[in-house]
Amino acid sequence: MTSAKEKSTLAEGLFALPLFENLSKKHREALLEFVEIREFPPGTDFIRQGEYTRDFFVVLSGIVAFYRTEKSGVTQVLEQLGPGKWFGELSAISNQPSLARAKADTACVLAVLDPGLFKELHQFSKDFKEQVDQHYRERSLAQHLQVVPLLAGLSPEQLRALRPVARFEHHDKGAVIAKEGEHAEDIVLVRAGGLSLTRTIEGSQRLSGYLMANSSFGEHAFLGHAELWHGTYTTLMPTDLLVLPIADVRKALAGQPDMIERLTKKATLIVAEDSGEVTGLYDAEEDRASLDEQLEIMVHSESIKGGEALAIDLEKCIRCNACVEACVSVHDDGVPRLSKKGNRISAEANALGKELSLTTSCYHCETPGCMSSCNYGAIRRDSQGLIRFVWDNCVGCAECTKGCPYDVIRLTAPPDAEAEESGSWLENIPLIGGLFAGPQRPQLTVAERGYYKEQEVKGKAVKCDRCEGLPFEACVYNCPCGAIERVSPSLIFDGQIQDDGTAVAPQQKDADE
Amino acid sequence: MNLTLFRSKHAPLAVLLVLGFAGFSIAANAPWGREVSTHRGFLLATGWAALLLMVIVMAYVLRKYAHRGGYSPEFRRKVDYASLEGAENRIKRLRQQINAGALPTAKEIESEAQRILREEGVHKVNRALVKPGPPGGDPFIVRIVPTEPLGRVARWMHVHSAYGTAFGFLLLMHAGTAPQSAFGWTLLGLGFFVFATGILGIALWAVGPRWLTRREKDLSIEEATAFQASLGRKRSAALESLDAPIARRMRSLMGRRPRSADDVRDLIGELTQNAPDQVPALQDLAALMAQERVVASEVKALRRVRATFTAWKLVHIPVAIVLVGLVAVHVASIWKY
Ligand code: SF4
Ligand code: SF4
Ligand code: SF4
Repeated sequence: MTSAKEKSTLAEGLFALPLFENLSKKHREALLEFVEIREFPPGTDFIRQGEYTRDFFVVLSGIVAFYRTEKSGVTQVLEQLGPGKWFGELSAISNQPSLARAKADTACVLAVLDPGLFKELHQFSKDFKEQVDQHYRERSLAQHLQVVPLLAGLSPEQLRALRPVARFEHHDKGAVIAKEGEHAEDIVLVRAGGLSLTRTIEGSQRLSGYLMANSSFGEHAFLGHAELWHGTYTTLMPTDLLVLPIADVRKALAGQPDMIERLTKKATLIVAEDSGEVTGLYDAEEDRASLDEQLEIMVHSESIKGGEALAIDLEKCIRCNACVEACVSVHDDGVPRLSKKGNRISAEANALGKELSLTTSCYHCETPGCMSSCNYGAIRRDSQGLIRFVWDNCVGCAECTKGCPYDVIRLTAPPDAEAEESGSWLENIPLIGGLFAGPQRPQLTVAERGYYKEQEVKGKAVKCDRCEGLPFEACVYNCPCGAIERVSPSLIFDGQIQDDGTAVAPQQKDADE
Repeated sequence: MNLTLFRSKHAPLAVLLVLGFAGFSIAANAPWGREVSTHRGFLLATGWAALLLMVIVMAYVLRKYAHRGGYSPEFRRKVDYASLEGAENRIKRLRQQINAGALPTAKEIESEAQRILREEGVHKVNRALVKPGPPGGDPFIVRIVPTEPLGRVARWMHVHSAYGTAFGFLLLMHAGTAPQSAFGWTLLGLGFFVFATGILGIALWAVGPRWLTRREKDLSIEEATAFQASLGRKRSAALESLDAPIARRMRSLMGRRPRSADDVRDLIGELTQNAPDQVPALQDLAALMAQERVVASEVKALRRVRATFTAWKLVHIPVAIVLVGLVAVHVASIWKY
């Protein structure tokens, strides 16, 4: 707990900085309450290049230097920042990995704003936002533009040349950013927030996808004046965009015909890839981030969450834990596949208007990290679109637990023949014993396992299997409040564009009866 | 506020039931409780109705624990994965046929989907829901959902709370406000406890979640506990990275209650002079410990809040069990004598 005297010294130091001097009383109090002061002795590396830190730092004393190591192995000092300067806005706003290593050149004292506090000030304090955005435009924007597939690979000078043409836009929820059929004249990069993309298919508006932070669209507009928007982009929440008018981009690159030609070729490839005509554009481009890095960016921005999630309506949930206990009761290893620790979505940010928590159970991702990290062919997508473990192949190597970005996979002890045979004593009662048989266990013996039977079985990977084979999903079935539901992201973010045209999941209606 | 309990169809039914008996009492001029000789009909009717309600109310408990213990008959319906996949493949083909216009009505589609589920042996586990598609989209949407044979616990809960409340009123009508025996007083007293704690539970049900959500706005107990565990792991790793004698001193400092941030600061000060290479690691450790302290106190506070919300059950459940036992004795004795 900070003492009153320490607080007033801290306040004097912080509020003397131009960045904080015009904060409202409420924001000053929040800053004082939540800011963290960190001290670093000289020579400390406190952020690694490529690290995902979402904190925002203000130098109170000392010198912080930034070192960037290029692919060639050459390391150069990008800049040095002294008292009153700040850094970290790129990561804090857009989840971008740090562009350089940060090192305390001298003993440093830094004020650290966590993402929540930063977001609050950035969203609601005009002066703070203006200063941070101006700084972002000068220092980080050129780097950030590399996220746009079309622009990745431009030299730092070329990217810097685009800085003056970039326009910052902020939109509230529900704003239409681009309308299907109208002329496409801009490339748009989502800095924070998210949009839905809907397309007209056979006469009706159908949801085609989501664009979250660091996604971009409009690259096809680079191909010429006759390009139209292929869909309608609507903000799902308060959203920050970076808009690059194509005409201005062309002007900024005038005098570099080679570059214009290269970008045109790239735009053609991107359009072809979007329409499914070619694949592998990104692999072919050596200047793209590695697949892992891309995946990490996408995962951090949650743009690849594709399947159905278990959502808890926090305004109904009495936190009784019956859902987790029910999950345990249908799995004989006693390991719950459900963790109520999940992502919160505020009522304002979703179409259902409810305070929600997306529990950590399997999302059955469109791009499942678990699957690509398993070397034993033990994870596959079944015909229902669900991600399943093929237990016969699972050797318990735990690689999938590292591959899953949502931490939903658990390892259980290796199957033990004795345990498999044991059951309730009630099962032995003649005639009616069968009524008391518990749920079946997966039958797995080392000898029966397939191709990988030579491998030592260290354990078994488990995750939500949607209570496979049972006539219920135990968590949903046993919640006394009807608070937990299986819902699709389209329902959460845009209730109107459900497949069956309803805004409320049919199962939910049942429960509410 | 969560009003689902009040919106359930069982709530008005329970109210009607209570009003019906109250009307009966007025119409027959039957006082509550007592007067066995003159108002036997009213006494018997309230008694049997209360007993029936009690059985209904207990069914919820039975269903909940049977399921939790894995003894619920639904578990017997479990089917293997191959059948599920076989059914899903055929349903996919059915969807294609529907889009091609082969089955024009929802009724036909539903019976065809059910036939597939039956043939694949999964009809006891899954059922088909057919709805008209959105304008311009597929003509019909076929969803395969679990059969949920006994209905969700949420619905059983509606029954439990509505008829449980009605049971309280009927018990009062049956026993009256001044029972003539100690046994009667005991039954009435216990009934009152169960009723009052149940009402408290209903009230907490309605307002509690919103309150808890606000309280846990920044950090839920699940997040805080996971965070605490991860800080613990990081702290152990940081301790490992220290030189053995310093690690020992840190361990003894950490074992001390109450731990003081000043001790750690003093140790860092001392080491800055004597072992400067250990200082950064120690500073990390001190930062982790400080964070851990904050999170631990938050976890404690959150646990306290949640405990407050469940404390009513500590009275409700045991007293309800005793009440059920005594009611059984009461019914048995009436039966016998
Ligand atoms: S286990 Fe994790 S990565 Fe795999 S599908 Fe589920 S949520 Fe996605
Ligand atoms: S659907 Fe079944 S396996 Fe998945 S979290 Fe719920 S209870 Fe657990
Ligand atoms: S069972 Fe329902 S009310 Fe209880 S913790 Fe789970 S979601 Fe919340």
